[in-house]
Amino acid sequence: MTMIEMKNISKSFTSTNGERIQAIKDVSLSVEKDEFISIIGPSGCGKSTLLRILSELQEYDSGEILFHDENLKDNLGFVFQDSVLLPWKSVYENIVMPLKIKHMETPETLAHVEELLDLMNLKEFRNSLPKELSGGMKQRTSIARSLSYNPKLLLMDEPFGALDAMTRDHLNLELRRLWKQTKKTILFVTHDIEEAVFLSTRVVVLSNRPSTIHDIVTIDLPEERTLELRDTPDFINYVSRLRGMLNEQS
Amino acid sequence: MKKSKIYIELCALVIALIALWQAITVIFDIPSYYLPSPVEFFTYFSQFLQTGKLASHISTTLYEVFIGTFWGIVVGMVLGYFIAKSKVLEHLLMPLLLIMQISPKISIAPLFILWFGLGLTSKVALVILVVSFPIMIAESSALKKINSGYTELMNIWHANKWQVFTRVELPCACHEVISGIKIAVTQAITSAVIGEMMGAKAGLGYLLTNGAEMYDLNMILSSIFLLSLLGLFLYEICQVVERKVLYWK
Repeated sequence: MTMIEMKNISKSFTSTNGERIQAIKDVSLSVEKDEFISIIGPSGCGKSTLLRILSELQEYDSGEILFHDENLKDNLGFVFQDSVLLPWKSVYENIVMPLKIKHMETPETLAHVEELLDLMNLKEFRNSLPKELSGGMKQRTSIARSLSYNPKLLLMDEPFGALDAMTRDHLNLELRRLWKQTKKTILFVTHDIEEAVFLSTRVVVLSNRPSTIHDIVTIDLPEERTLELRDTPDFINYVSRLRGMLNEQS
Repeated sequence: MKKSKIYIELCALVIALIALWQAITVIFDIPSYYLPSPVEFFTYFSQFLQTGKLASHISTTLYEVFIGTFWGIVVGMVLGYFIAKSKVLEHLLMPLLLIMQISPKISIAPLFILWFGLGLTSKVALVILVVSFPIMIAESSALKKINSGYTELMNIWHANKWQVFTRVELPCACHEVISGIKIAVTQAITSAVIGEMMGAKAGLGYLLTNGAEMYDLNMILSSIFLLSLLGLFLYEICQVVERKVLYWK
């Protein structure tokens, strides 16, 4: 089932010295339900812009976005590279914050928050302040917060970009598990090719500015993904194929 | 432990200074109309307190400072918010507010007394004028540098402006605003006293002018003593509030 259809989305910016910069040009992409799509591309190519347009943080110049479920647009989750936790609120208070704002605090949603705390291994940190958390823990909290109101669509903008390799591996495993358990549709921007292959069902490769879709690669790897998978020939093939595409671009 | 030690040291210092004061007045035989000895002064002070007249002067000044500071904070917060949000308002309002701030308070005081009378209103107005400015500046600059991630998240959750203000902007601006209030309260006392000295029926500033006119050094000293205590007290309140509010820093 198609959830979102983007048709010929274009977007340009005016830079500080008055130049028009075409960031995205004629991007068309349809997102199916329960997909995990990663978007990769050369740095500064407008990967994030695409997510920001989808979440209405930025406008687009031309094209069309169709949400096949109107509820989707008003109820999407967004995870930034920086965890942007409110420093005066505890982990738990941060996670229930969107529920408070949306006036959605019901026994059911609060029970769901408890599940999320469990799922993200945050139980023992529920009363900690963000300054007491490691980078990985902060990002877990941020992810739990984005899921607190149970959105069907989750947009993630390089959420693990600032983390060390070990933490990153760990969170990749957890995110993959989370995606399977909670049946979300995830759009994931990253600059890490291995991460993209490991997590995704499809990888979208964007070209250099002005960004168009260079190719979409379906990742046909086993459902159950462990870290050992990354040493298998199939995985390595995907990675080198995608790396080749990116190198063409730059 | 460490804190109580500081207090003990402070008390010792104050006692030493009072002893020195007493010694100077005795040794140099300074007449009491020139500088009363601490013993004389504190006798006078306690008698003055017992008559109950002093209490009404204290409460008058306290009232002006508290009410003025409160509304000054409110006015400063409202102005600061709109100046941070709207470039047009900033360009329109800033020159006007600056002119009002740059002109010495003493020069504005007679104007306010003419407009608002000899009573409390003119002093409260003066305090509001003085207090609101640093708070407005503090808040608007704090609001302008809030991490855009917060506001973007609030947009994604479709938060309304009030929710954004109370849940993100206000807490983020707290640090700066409290610093602004700390500067403001000390100035609030000054401007209340200036107002009272210019024309009033009661208050510690009124007591000051009264004392000066009657060559009553004890009265002047009582007023100065109380004003310093008042300033210290207000500043301490700010410190306590700051520690309570900024526990997460």
